[in-house]
Amino acid sequence: MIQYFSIVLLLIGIYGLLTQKHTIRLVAALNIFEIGLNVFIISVGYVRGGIAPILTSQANTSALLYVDPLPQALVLTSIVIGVGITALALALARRMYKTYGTYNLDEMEGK
Amino acid sequence: MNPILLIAVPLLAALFAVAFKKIGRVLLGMAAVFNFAAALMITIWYVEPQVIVIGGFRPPFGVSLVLDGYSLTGVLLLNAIFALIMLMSFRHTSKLAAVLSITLAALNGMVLTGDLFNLFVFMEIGAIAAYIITTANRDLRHTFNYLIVGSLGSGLFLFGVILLYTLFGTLNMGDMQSKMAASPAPMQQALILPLVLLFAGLAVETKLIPFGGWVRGVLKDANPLTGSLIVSAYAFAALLVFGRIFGEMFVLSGALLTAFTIVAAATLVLAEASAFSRRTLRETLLYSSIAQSGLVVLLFLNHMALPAVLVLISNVVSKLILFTVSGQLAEACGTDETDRLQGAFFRYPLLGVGFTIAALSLIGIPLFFGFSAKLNALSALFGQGNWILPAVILLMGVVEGVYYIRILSALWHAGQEGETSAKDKLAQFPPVRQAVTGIVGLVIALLIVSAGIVTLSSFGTSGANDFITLIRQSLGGM
Amino acid sequence: MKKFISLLLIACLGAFIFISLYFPGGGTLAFPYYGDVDLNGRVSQAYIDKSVNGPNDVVVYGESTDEESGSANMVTSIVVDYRSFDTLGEVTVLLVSTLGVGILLGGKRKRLEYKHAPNFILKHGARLTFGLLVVFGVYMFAHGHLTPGGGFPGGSIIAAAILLLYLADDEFRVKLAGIKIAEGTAGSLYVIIGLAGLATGGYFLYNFLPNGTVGKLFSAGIIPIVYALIGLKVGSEISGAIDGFATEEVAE
Repeated sequence: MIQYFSIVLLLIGIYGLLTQKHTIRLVAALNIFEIGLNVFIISVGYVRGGIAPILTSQANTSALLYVDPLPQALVLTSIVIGVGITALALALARRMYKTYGTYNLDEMEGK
Repeated sequence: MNPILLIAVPLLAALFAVAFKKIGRVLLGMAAVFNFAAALMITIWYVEPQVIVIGGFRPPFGVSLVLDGYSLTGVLLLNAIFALIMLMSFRHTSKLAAVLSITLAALNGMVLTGDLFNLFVFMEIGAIAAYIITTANRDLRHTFNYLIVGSLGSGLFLFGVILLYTLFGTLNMGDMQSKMAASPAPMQQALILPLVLLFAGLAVETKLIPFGGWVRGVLKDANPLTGSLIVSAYAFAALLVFGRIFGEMFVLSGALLTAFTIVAAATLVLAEASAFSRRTLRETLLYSSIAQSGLVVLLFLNHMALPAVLVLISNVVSKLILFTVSGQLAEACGTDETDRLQGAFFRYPLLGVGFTIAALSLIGIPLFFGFSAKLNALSALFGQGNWILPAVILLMGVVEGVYYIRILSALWHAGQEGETSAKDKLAQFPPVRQAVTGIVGLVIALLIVSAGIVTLSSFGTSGANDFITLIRQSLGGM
Repeated sequence: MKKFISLLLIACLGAFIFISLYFPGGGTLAFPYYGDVDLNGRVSQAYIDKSVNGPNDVVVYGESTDEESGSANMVTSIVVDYRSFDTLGEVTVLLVSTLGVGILLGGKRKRLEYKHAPNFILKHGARLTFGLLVVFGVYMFAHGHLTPGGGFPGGSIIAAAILLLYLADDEFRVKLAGIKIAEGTAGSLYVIIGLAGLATGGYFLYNFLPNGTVGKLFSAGIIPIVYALIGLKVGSEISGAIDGFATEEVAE
């Protein structure tokens, strides 16, 4: 179920990227797309009945059934990359606001 | 010499440049020189393909680099191109020293890595660095557009990589390839979605339609540094990655191959048509490089790795000098409209020689490298019994020839005195910059000629994947 | 009109994705359904058993010693050991994007002015909380190999503490030169540790320290050191970016 929702979220993000003209909204749409993707990546590693892949004093041997730890490691990278791109995009939007006095890409056209 | 140093050393230079801002450009220069020297040494000592393990964990589990003829060719030329760009455009690097060092590390990583997710990480570093490099242009809207399209593309690429992981349970390219060979059917239904996603993701950096829309805005006012980096170094690395994935890992057939080929051919035709209709130097050149990307992708898709790499090398080496010279002319004259630059080379022949030979090689005049590259591609296509694609490529070659000749005749023609002549405006062109660009242009021209003669003489005899022999012969039998 | 076309496009893309994922066609390969995953078919089982470089007995918490990757948190052992090279790249992504923010929002800058000046309680309360948050952040990356967390969340928490000061005090600014030196040093130490591994063990990013007992604070070789460096680097980088957004250019 969560996998369906993650794909829907991803599609909503792409729809936003196609239709929006406001720079901040575009960045938001990009983030929705990335979150959908990240949830999908996590869902790919789920094993029915599996527990979190950390050895503790309760779950203390590696012979137990764990969920796949690799997608969780990958998603960490993906999140950090998303943060970096968001920061850069917001900085660009702010600089453009200073130049054009608007956040709307269409309104920038005439100036 | 461990190839990992090609990535680690520029990265270290970038980090030092962050902490000590004043020596940033020195560090960048040192990193570029080190990488070029290291790549040369690795090429000289290269014996056989090897896998470089990182962290001490054997390949399917740890991340590893792959050094074979393909990636070695890439690494050698990439570092040479980068060093030349730095040599010619060093004065534009003031704020960007750390970013450019990271770019160097990322491009090397893209070419060397043997792991799909690691490839994604390096592509992303390279892409973010590219966004920053293009902010040197005045209009930030194009950079923003590039950032949005690029992030969407890399997201789709990551989606594809994850789907491949669920199918094969591994991220290592070699391991995935052998697992694929173990599954019997030639074309699996389940592979279609991940391959389409990977193709879409790579299409942004390889500038295929409809994802190549960012190129014009970013490059039409590019300074010599931005222009030559994007058109030459980035294009080279991105297309080599494309070849790794679609030329080597996944051999396509059937409907998927037809669909991708149509996209590539459409890119070729539309971009050549646009290039023909433009009247400014940089716009013509940028459309020409989109077209060449389309051609290279077309060849990779149709299982012709060697011709594809030859065409790619011919294109990026020529574009390097073409874009730098036109960027510098635009800076000196305040315009890059072909008609208003009449007689520019008449006055500065040193700039003109490299430009002319690069352009002639791209057109495919015999004895230059571009000719043997195109000859290889066409004969390979004919060998497959394919008639439509070679016809398209030949036709586009004629179009290309017409507009390059048009540019050359305008720039060499003295023009009328007064309004239309560029002579007076060029007066402030600094002699040192002129000499550096001129000499680099001459060196590249020499290489184009010698590589052209070597590849032509060994045409049809060299092995299908023997890039490295070709390169060694071209460099004078190292 | 544009919205309609986009909607149509999205519908097609969605249908393509759903059909490919959940209705397998021809061929022997098929995507596993949600939860129906067999880890033995993936590389991950070897990460759980710590058996990448050869067969291994069952790993027991608090007892097994000198495993190939001594972290109790398997995600951490992938992030900072098995696939440490990815993490180096990831740290570089953050570095390059904050460099970009610095280039775009650089120059001589001053703080944005607030409409209402923050009062005494807010300023001093924020400073108290700041200390607690920093300690929590340090705890987060120091225990990254034992519990959920690690360098990235820990660094973000430290940056959040800085953000709190920015929000609560309209005169507060970090020293950007210090931030640059901290992030440059932490990052270069990561690469230098990698090169040290190359010199001692023959592999870049090789874990050359003893791995100790799984589950102990001092275990897992270079993992806690690298995570502490990542925490410092991420914390200082995001703080630098926050400064860019909380300030404006001084009009000449």
